Order: sequence, then structure tokens, then C-alpha cells
Amino acid sequence: VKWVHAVRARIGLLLRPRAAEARIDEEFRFHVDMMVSENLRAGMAPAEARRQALLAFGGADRHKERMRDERGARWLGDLISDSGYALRTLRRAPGFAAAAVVTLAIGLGVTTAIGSVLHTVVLAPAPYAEPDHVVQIARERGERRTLVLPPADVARLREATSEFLTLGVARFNDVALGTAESTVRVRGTVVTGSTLSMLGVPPLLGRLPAAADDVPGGACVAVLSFAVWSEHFAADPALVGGSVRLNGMPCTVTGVMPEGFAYPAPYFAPGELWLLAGPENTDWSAEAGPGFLVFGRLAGGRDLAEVRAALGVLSARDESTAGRLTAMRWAAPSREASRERLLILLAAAALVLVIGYVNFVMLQLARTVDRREELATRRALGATPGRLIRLMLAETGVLTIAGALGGLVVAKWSVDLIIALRSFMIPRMEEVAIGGGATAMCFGLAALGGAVAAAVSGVGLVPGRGPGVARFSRSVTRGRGGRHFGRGLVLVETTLTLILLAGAALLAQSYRNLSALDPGFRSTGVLHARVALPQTRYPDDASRAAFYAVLEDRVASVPGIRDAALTWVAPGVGAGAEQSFAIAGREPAPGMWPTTVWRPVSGGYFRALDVPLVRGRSLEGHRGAAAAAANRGALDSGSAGAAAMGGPREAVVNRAFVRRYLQDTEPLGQRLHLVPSVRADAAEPEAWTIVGVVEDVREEYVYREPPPAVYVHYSDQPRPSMVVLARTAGSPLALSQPLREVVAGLDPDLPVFGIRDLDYILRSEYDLNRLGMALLALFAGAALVLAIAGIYGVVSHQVAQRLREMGIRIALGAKPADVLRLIVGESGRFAAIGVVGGLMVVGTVGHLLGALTPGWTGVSRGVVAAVAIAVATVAVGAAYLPARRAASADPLETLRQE
Amino acid sequence: MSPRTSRDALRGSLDLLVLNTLSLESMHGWGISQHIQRISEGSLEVNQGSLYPALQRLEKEGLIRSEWGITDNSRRARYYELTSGGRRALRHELDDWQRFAAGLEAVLRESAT
Repeated sequence: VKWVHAVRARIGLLLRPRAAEARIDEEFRFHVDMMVSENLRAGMAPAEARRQALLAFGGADRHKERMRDERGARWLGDLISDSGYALRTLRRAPGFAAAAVVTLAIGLGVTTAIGSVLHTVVLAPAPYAEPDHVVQIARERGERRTLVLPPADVARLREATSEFLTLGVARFNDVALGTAESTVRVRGTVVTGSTLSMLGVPPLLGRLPAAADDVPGGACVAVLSFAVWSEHFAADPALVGGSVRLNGMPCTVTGVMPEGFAYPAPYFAPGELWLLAGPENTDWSAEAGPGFLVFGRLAGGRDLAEVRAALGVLSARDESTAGRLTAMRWAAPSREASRERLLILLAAAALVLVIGYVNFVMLQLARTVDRREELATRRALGATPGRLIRLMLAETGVLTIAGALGGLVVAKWSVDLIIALRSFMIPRMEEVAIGGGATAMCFGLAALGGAVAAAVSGVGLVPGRGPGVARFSRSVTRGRGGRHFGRGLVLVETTLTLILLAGAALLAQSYRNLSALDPGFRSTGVLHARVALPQTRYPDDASRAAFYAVLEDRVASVPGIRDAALTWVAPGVGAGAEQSFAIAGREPAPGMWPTTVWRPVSGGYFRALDVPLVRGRSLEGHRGAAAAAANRGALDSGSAGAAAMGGPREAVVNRAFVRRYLQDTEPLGQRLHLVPSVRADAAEPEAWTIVGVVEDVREEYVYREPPPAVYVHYSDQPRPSMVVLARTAGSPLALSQPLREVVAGLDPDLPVFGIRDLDYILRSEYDLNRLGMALLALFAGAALVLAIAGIYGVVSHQVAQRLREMGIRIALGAKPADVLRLIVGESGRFAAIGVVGGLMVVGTVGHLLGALTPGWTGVSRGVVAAVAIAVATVAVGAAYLPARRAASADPLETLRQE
Repeated sequence: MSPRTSRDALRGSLDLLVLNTLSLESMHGWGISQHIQRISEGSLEVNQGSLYPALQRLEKEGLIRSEWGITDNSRRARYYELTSGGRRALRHELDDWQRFAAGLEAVLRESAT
């Protein structure tokens, strides 16, 4: 086939230039020899025959040259020789080369790193079959979106959306998994029978649980993640179909999922083991209590709009206060939040890149200007303008490629750093890597910078405007274009640096605000741990309350623990749902129920956390506590639930609650009840009387205003899982072992989860803030260094160019101070314009940073002003050093140099 | 395959001669130039400075291929032969040429009368 021959011929010509040359030589020799023998035959003398033949053949070298052009070998050869030449000349200017490469590498590196993060976190699809068809269902009220839905919602949804969606749910439920050696805690995820199959990922071994397995009170069935299976069971295939101990009870393992499967990761915490809701005795009619993340796969041919319409109909019927049901593409909620933050960081990185570009271009422009005489000489000696431009291009190309490679290294470091600063709030961070796309991006951006540099520095060399020897060697001031560019550089770099520094400073300030906030409780020295009581062995409220009462007592008596309290969710850690409630005597209209933070706690909660009581009394000495205490013997003898759980229930509310809901009346003595209890069939069994008011505690997030909160005694609502908070005398974690022993003493099958220093948990809530701040600070630092280098470089270069001018000025009577003022003044003027421009930008878009920043208190004038002064000072300082050199120019010296 | 523009007319005629010559038998460069000279009875003389670049170009386009061979008097020489693509191109070029020559002749005849 023709093209096969063509390709083969071309490859031969291009890749083996020497063989091609040899072949031509031999062909020509043969041809000439044939001509010679022809001439001999015609009767010429041998010498004359050869002479005539060579004459007739013509210049063999010219023929060869034509053939070389013809086969396209020339540009390749030229490219190689030009690059070699560029490398040699760059080696003679190592400072310049290093500065150009480093400046480009820093800009490219940070941009590529953030680009990779953005790509992985925001753009890469979820690792499930047809991820586009998976949606998540939430309730939405105004800005507020609730992702965790109560079981009753799941039941409603299952009924109303069956023709559109296959539902899948997830609820985290840490379980105690018995292994050969010990009991470990794994992140169990409660799912329904259709959930895992809905995701479309086949199991590695065994089978997925079937819908038939998911029956209330059915036998426990579990699917293990690859990690749990290989880590705790030595990847034993025989385990499939066998049984493990879960929360002390036997549970059948139906299958093992492949490596990397961690539903509902990547947008939520990864699951390690999956168990079915039915056997876990999930009450699908419960309107409150532990809820589920709800997902669904669109049935064939259905789209999101149809699902939303169906959900709208459903919402119109129900009375939930948590807002209307809506569906969105899965991952959208967390992605949106991350995307906003990452886009801000990407913009910041892009600013660093622009500064890098400007410096890169400036360096090459300066070099071209410096080399004008050399280039003029070359041109006078016969180099064509095209050839000179090619030489410059080769140099730019070498620098650009080196810069891009350096950029990849910087990107790798940056990604490692970002991962090391690990933020809980940015999902999938661990997966970020510098891959093919990032490499392409880095080289593409490098090529862009190279093209700009080549265009700008090549302008002075285009034919017609090219340098002539005479034109340039004698001028006193030169490079007007270069000077304009220098001013532009000062202006642009001060603007961008100001923006970045101000951003970083504002984030730092909000971080400080955050750490200085009074959370309303004392978290230092508090040990945090969670225990969970399996439903199978602690089936009712009485048995759980009894357990917690003993636990509270025993923990408080551990040496080194001063105070101990139990609560459902630790304050300030951002967990726990709100509860709809009503105040007796003022029941709201359906759908208008107010909400509050609702916390079952132990009587010692306020004392242990140093929350002052404002009015009335706390829950200590609560009737429930007394009942639970009376019941302690019952726990030990194994007959749970002996204590009577009747009588009035008591609640303590905080001041925010009083402000919001009881402004106009005496709070003490008011009665509260929860939504489900006002159903027609219930005769108000769950009502609490307010007996006290406490100071506000930032129960949700430390950086959010304290929400209204109601505290009730845990014996009224003994949750299946409670947090132990123990105030210690010294280091909290030193007491984790005694705490474990206390729990093991009560029930050896119960693991203790989440043993942490409460302070540490709260600080990690600032992580997001810290990540944004650290990165912006990093970018700002890089920008500052680049800007200093750029301004210093460009002013130095101008000073060197204008040394003669300065010499003449001094010879004519200018004082060194005048020269200093001239040069510093010029940079200073443009730096000032840059600072003003930067201030305007910060004033306009600074508030966008608020998205990055819990604890954001707006754009602080003081901080911005301080940054502006700092940037201006640095810019002037960078110009001052080279200006000093000009001021000390000796007129005799500089004028003699010519 | 690549359509030739009129800019290539002169070069094209050399290519045509070379391809036509090689359609008879495979031949070395010297043989090709001798053949063209002989058939045209000396009226067409092929310049070596054009012939070898033309051969290289045709080979690059995949119309001919070359390999080393031995001549009648036992010398090593590079022999060129048509590829099937070259054969097709030759037919095409010949048609073109004949149309062009006929047209040219018609126009010239008209202006002569």
C-alpha cells in the first residue's frame, strides 16, 4: 500500500540521516562513473573523460543540499544544533537560566497542583457504575440542606419513588468486630437490601445480600470491605459464608467487596463493613432518631426532573420542618462546597503563575536587550534574521521545557504538602496525584509562557526593526520598550502580590478570631470517648439507662478524672441533628414546628464542661438519675428494666433558647414535647418541664453562634450510643487506658471508639480554615519572593542600561541622592499604582474568601492597610538596592567604558 | 493521492517521465536519465540536480521504492521500481497530461489560424 511505502521511506530518511547521505554518495558516484565510461567510449582520454563528466554532473554538494531540504532533515538538524547552542550559551549565564527556570517552575507547580486537586475532587466521577445516574435525596429549607433523613422519610420515599428510583441508604453505625485476637472497632454502615446492588459494583467474593435477607429481626448478615477482610482475617476466602462476631453476636459474611470500594465514600466517610437495616431492627416509622443518607439510581429512561417532581408531590403532603424533599446528582453537595474553595485557591495559584510569567518574560527581554550588540554583530557577519530568531526561540524553548519539568517537581511537593495538611472537609484528597492530565496542563501552561516570552523578546529582532551595529552601540539611553515593560512589571507584580498577601492575612486573622472565640465551655483537658450498646443485648431504654448510670459512676471514680459527663454528641464537633419540638399551650400550625438542638446528657454535664447555671437548677439529682442509680443492682444481676420510668421529665434550656422561643414568659415551668408525641394516638407521654436555664454553648460548631438548645437527662432518652466526656487533671489521653478498662469491666464485648482529646477534635474542625490559610500563605510567600526578585531584577537591569546616563547626570552636577530619587521614585510611583489597584481588587472580591473561612469577620481595613504598607515597602526596597549602585556611579568610570 | 496544483506543472512533468520510465522495468538513476534522453531523441535532457531530488520525493510519497541491485557489468546500483500506488498515480497523471496536452493543442491551433 502506498502510505506504507511512504511512511517507511520517510522514517528511513529522517531517522538514519547518515545512511541516507551514504546512499546518495554512492548513487552519485555510480552516476558519474557511468558518465565517465560513456565519455571513454566516445574516445576521450581518461582524465578528460572524468573532468567532463564531473562538469556535466554539476555541483554534487548543491544537489545533496537540495535533497536534504527535500527530505525535511534540515529543520531537525538545525533544531538539534540550535538547542545545543542554546544550552551552551545558557551555561555561560547560569544565574539567568536558574532564575528563569525557577520562577516559571514555581508558578507552574502551584497551579498544576491545585488543578490536580480540583480535577480529582470535583471533576472525577464516583467509582460506581454509571455515576451520573446516582442521585442523593435531601431536605431543603432555604439555604439549609439536611442530608440525613429520618427512617420514616426512607419509608415514604421507597413508596413514592419506586417507579423512578432504586433506593440505597447509608447510616454509620460503628460496630465491635471480633477477630481472632481481639475486638476491634470498624466503621459499620447500615444499608438496605437493594443498596449495594444499586451501586453496580460486583463483590470480589461471595454475593451481595439479597432483599430477602433484609427482614426485621432476621439473621445478621454482613459484607466486608477488602481492607477489613485482609487486615483482620488474613484474606481468608473460607470466611465467606462463615460467621464473625459483631457486637458480640454471630453474623454471617455473605461476601467481600473489591479493594477501594468504601460506600458511601468518596463523598462521605468510607464504610468498612456493611450490615442490613432489617436485622438491625431499624424502625422505619421513626420520625426522629438516627437517620440515613439516602441515594437512588435512576430507573431506565427516567431523569432527575421527574424524580424532583415526584418528591415535590410528596413534600406537599408531609409536615416535616426540615424542608422540602429534593434530589440532586450524588456528590453535588460536598462537591459544590469544595469546588468554591478550590476555585478560590486556583485563582490564587493563577496569580502566582502570572507573576511567574511576568518575571520569565522580563528575564528574557532583559537578556535580549543585553545581547543586542552580540546579535547585531552576528547579523553583520551574515546570519539571517530568521536564523537569529530561531536561536532565541531555541533558548526560550530550552528554558520553557526546563521550567515545565521543574513545575512538575514543585507540583508534586505541593500536592504532598496539601495532603499532609489533610483536611476533613475536602473529600478524596488522598487520591490526588500528578497524573497525565496534570503533566499535560503543566507543559501546556509552560508553552503559553514560552510563547509570550518569545513573542515579547523577539519583537526587537524582527526584520526591518532588527538591530544594526551602528544604531545601538552608541546610544546613551536605550531599550525604551524594555523600560515600559519594566514599569508594567512593577505595577502588575505589586498588584498581584498585594491581593495574595491580603488574602492570606485575612484568613490568618479569621483563624485567630476562631481560636479566640469563647465556645461557652471549657474543652482543655477533656477526654472524649464513645461507647455504643448493641441493640441485641441492650434492647430497651431501661437496660441502656442502667448501663450508662453505672458507667458514669465508675468513670468519675477513676483516679485522675475530676469530673465525668455523658452526652449524646460532644459540643462543637458539628454532629447531631436538630429536633422539632413544641411548647405546651402554643402548638404551631402543621409544617411550622420550631427546631432546636436537643441533647440527652448526664446530670454532671454542665459541671464537667464549666457551663454556668443562670437560673433554676441543673439536672443533677434528677428523678431519672435517682431511678437509674436504684437500678444499678439490676444491671449486675442481668435483669434490666426493673426501674420505673414514669413521672415528670425535666429539661434545662440555654439562654439562646429563651431568647428565641420564650422571650415573653417565665421559662421555668414551661413544658416541651417532641413532634411524634402529638400524634392523635399518643397521650403526651414525652413532655419535659423546664427547670433551669444555662449559659449558651456553641453546641453545633465552635465558629457558629450558639444555637437554641434543650438538655434532658439521658435516662429519659438513653440513646444506643453516648459520648463520655471526662475532665482530667493532666493529659487527657493518658487516661484512655483506665477508661477502656472501666468499659471492659462492665461488658468485655464493648469497644471504646473515638478516644480523643476534645480540644484536638475542635481544632481539627478548623482544618479547612487551616488548609486554605496555609495554601494562600504559601502562594503569597511565593508571590512575594517572585515579586522581590522581579522588581530587583528589572531595576538592576535598567540601572545597568542607564549607567552612562547616570554618569553624565552626575558629571553635570546631579547629586547621588537625586539619582537615587529618580530611580526609586520611578519604581515607587508604579508600585503605588499597583498597591492602589490591588486594594481595589481586595475591596471588591475580598468577601469571596468568606467561603473558605468559618470565623470570617469580613475584610478588615487594618489588616489590608498593613499589608499594603508592607508590599509598598518591599517594592521600594527591592528597587533601592540597585538604585544605590547607580547613585554611586563614577562618571569617569562609566563614560570610559565605551 | 495528494492533488497536484498547477504550481507543480514543471516538476510534475519530470515526475511523469520518471514514473513512465519505471513502468517498463525497474532501473537505476543513470538508466532513467539515459532512457529519457534516448526515447526523446535528445530533445529532453534530464539534469541530475533535478532527477535525484525527484526520485527521493517520489519515494517519500510512496510512489516508488528502491533497493540495491547489481548492474550488467557487476556494479552495485540503487534500483527504483513503481509501487502499486505509483502505478495508479501514473495512470491518473497520464490522463491529466493528455487532457492538458489536448487542451493546449486546441488552444494553440485556434490562435495559429
